[in-house]
Amino acid sequence: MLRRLFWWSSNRPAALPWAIFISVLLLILGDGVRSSISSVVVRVIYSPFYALHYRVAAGAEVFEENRRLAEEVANLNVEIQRLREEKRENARLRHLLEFSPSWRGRAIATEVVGPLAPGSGNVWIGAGKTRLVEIDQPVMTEDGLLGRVSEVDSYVSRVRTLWDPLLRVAAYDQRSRVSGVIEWTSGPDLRMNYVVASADVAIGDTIISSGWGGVFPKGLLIGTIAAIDTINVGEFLNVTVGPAVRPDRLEAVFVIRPTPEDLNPDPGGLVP
Amino acid sequence: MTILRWIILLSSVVFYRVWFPENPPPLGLRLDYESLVIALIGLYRGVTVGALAGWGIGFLAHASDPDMMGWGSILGAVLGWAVGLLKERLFLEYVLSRWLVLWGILLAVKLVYILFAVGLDVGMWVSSIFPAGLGSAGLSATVGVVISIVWDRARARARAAVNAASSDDQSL
Repeated sequence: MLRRLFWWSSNRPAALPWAIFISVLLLILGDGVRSSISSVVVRVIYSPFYALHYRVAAGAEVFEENRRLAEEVANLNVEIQRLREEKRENARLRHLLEFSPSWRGRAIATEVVGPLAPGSGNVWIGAGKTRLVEIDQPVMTEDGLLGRVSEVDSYVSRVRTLWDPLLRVAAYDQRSRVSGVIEWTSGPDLRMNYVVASADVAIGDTIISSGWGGVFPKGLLIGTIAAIDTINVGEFLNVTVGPAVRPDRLEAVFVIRPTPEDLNPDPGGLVP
Repeated sequence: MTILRWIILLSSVVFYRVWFPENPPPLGLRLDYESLVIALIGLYRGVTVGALAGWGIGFLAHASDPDMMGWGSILGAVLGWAVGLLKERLFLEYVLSRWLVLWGILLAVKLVYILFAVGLDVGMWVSSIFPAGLGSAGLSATVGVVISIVWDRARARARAAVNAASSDDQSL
């Protein structure tokens, strides 16, 4: 009977009884034996598959991490661009502050919204009455004097620039204190009129506003002397001034609200 | 070659256990690959091989869980043996009949595993059978039938090629 059960059942090996017998034996042997067998099987057979699974899963995590980092790098690049732009703007503002220590008024920062048209000599800026802009207030860039406000609307203002033939600025040579009047006649450069023939002026001298006339405060940079006509010398010299402001690079501008002290400088200081 | 085939088969079972563990065991909808492999072996290799392979696969599949080690091998062996026996006793050439047999027997095995997992909690039993138990058995039976159809066609084609070659030899 047992022989039939465990060896040959009809015409084939009795596999099922053996399988059940060994399984029951496993169950009877107890937890300790089963745990030992389990650890051996896991260590020998399962561990390579676990290792493979771990590596693939780790690879997927690395891929995901890489994608996240790439996004972060892109965002940081955008941030860097923004910070660079702010750095440049900061440098411009610093330059402006260092440039004009002589006036104490407040500056209204704005931008050019209507650029300088050929033959016009006027620009529109994005600040008006709502920002306390008034007619005749000086306008400058980080490089120097640009002009003065000639018309004010609620949100925009027209600026008469140095390249408008109707604008004149009282100025002097910063080195020799020789005074004159800046005006434009043609071309990109300005002209400094009423400089007497015997005056001490030289190419490269810095020309700044004198504060006379009650519009422009004293000390605003206008430009440097580019040429002096020594051939056609009459009562006055023909002095050509290269403007500090580049008309083709007008972007951020500042409207100056001068204090009374700015507009009434000590004229005695201007006498050479 | 036969040994290599068995090694690949058993490796695939371990691979499936590692890569697609039962979560939550065994109540989720999942292809019961281990049971399906045993059933297919019983279907194609008969009672003896089915029982032995079922024992081996059941043992291997539950080797990482000492509590289920013996029970898994018993269930595997019974599953392989039962499918082999049904193949002998029933006409399983039709796809539907084959599917029904596979579904029924895989569902029975699933129910036993659910019994191990939830005990005699009737509420859990019912919620485990619907839809995960029935669905898993149905999914596994469907995959099994598809595999058997592909396997049968491949075997028929190979047999036809061998017959054609032998008839060519005779004619020469």
